[in-house]
Amino acid sequence: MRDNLIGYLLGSLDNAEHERLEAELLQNPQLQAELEKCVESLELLERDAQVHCPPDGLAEATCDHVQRFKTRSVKATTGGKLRLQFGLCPR
Amino acid sequence: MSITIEKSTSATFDEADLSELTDEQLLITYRESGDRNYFSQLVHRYEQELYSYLRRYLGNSEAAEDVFQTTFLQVHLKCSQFRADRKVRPWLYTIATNQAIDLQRRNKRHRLVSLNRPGGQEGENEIGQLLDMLQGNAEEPLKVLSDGERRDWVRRELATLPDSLRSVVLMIYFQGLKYREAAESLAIPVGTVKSRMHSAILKLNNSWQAMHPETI
Repeated sequence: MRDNLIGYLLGSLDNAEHERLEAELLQNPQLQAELEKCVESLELLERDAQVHCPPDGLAEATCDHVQRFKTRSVKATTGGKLRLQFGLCPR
Repeated sequence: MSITIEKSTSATFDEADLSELTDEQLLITYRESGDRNYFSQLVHRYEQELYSYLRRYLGNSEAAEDVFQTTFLQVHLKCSQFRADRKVRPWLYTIATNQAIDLQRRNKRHRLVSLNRPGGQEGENEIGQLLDMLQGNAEEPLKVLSDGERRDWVRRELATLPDSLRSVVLMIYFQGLKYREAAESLAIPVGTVKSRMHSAILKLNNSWQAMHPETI
């Protein structure tokens, strides 16, 4: 049950788990104390809540990177076939 | 799951249609058509989210950019292996995390050598300061902390967590993944995700209290 406390605070539990934990919290002071400790702990993480923004054009550069890879792969494949064809082609 | 999407050429492509497709539809249609527009939509959709995850995971913007690119190259290379009954989001996190771990392994030897040298680069100084703190060389380092210093402390402390705990914190807390998504991404049971998350958060709290109990 205590492993669900963080998920409860973050909204990561499914509905059934959420309801079970709330029911348990109402009648379990020890679990309530643990919940308080989890709240304090999560407040630590909030201090690093800054969002890291990607550099401009990262997505486009990534698509270009993959496209270049695809192009190179096609060229390599075609090149191999062409060399094979040259080898077999009667002069 | 059946997908009914009319293939369109790039000249007549309607981007509004793409934004309505699910991640799974985009990936599967890209796999079947090879149309860059579907792939591009997926990359743009995850640009902020995945970069932010990698930036936190790796602690370095250049490394995060590199791994972001290699992650989507792997998506392109492995899209034939994607099962239609899976979700794209945890699959992406699996690939990104594996790519990040690979990079860290490749750099590990270099970093260990660099730590022994005076005057390292960005990041290395932070690690050195942390080592000083842990060894007790810094004099009451957390006595007076600004918000920025507290943030830096959290970052450094997160960086010292074992990968198994850190990746769970990053996915659940910072990225907002559901427990089941993190479990699928890391190929571990949901119960393990919960216990790791709990352990990590308490470890962080205990560490903070041990160093500066009156500030929490």
